[in-house]
Amino acid sequence: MKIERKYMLALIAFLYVLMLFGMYRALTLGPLDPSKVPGFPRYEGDPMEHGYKIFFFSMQFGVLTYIAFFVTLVCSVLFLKNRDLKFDTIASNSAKLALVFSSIVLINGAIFSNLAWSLPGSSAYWIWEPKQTTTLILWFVLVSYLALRATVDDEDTRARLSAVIGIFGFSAAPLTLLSTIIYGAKSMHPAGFGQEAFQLDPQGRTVFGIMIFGALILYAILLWLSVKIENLEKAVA
Amino acid sequence: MDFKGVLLVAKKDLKIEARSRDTLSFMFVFAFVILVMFNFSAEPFSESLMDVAPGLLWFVFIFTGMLGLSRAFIKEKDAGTLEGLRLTPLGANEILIGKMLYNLVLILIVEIIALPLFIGIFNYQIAGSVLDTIFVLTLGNIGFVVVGSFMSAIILSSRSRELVLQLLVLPILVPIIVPTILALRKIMIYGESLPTVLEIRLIVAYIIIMSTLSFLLFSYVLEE
Repeated sequence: MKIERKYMLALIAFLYVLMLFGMYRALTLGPLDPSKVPGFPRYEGDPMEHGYKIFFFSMQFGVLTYIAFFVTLVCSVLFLKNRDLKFDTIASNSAKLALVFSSIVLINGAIFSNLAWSLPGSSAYWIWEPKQTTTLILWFVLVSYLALRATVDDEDTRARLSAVIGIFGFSAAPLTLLSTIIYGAKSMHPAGFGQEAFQLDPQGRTVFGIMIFGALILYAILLWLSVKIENLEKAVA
Repeated sequence: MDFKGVLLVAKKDLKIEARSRDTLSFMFVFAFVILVMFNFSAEPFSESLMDVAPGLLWFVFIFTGMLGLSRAFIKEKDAGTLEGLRLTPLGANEILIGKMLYNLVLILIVEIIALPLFIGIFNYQIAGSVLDTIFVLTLGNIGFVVVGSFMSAIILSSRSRELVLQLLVLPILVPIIVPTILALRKIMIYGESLPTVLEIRLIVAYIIIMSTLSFLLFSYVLEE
């Protein structure tokens, strides 16, 4: 137990340094290179010149949301197969983390959206962009997953039903993306919807890598801790 | 798959409903009330009201359907007949499909009554053909019934049943709400004919995906 704690503290310290370094590097990156982005700057004093750096504080949480929900999906399937409550604990805690991460990405995304797509004198926090909308729907699914858990008393029933919702709900996200694209909302994200990808320079790519790597470690630590806390709570009760 | 058993489950529920009429009558009145209330959302006969009317029409079915759907399994649970249903030689999926059929019949009856009411109350001129409108509505309702029937069994063990049902169904239903409204708009406002409305494919694909998932998972929901 003691050794485990020592490793954990070392990992958290490493993560702390890594994230601080990543944030420092992200904030000290140069302004957006107008030659790389067609049609930039769009007007005098375009806030995107430095505002694009929000990307480095928001993208990893979007990735984490999907990873965390995917872990919920896998653990839900494993629970239904093995009927081991251990998987249910992992699934529910991963869903809780996914809710936190998606909240962060929604807020950061709204700020980014306002900087990137508003014109002077107006605001554009929410533009019904497909990925924005999908993330919001995913957020609702996660809330309903946790709401169902909160209102079922019996432990085995709760685990069984929430596993079913975990599997069912996971299908909602990709389908919503499909429907919102068809609905006519144009995607502003580069990922393959016929838009020119926004290229990062090598320095930016390093920061990108650091941020993603740090976020993955953060997720692993948080999941590990929250599962452990829940197990301890169960042991005490 | 035991189709006779499926029909038996649906027939049993319809027979109970035909005798008591305690779900259908409320669904009908609720649809009526909601249509009248929606009419206050904008100035009567105005352009803007005509523009949002197809969406409002679809939401009438969502809200009314939710009212009926939540009853399908709760009724069984409260009457203590769910145990009896489990004891029958029918599999979980036969029970689910039976319930889906029952819900679909209810919502189709509401559709038959609510559509003329909608046209009357809103004074609406459907640009396309009425049959196309009914087809799209029915298709959307099938998708709604598939997801809704499945979820109405999940909430049985929950403390706040109906409240959770709304929360569970609506986000998962977004991929069918969006293309249905879009297809309805195309037909009702722009008067397009059915083959040009490509959203139909999305609705059908969605129904297939969701029913497959439901049939795969329902045996886990019903076990005790």
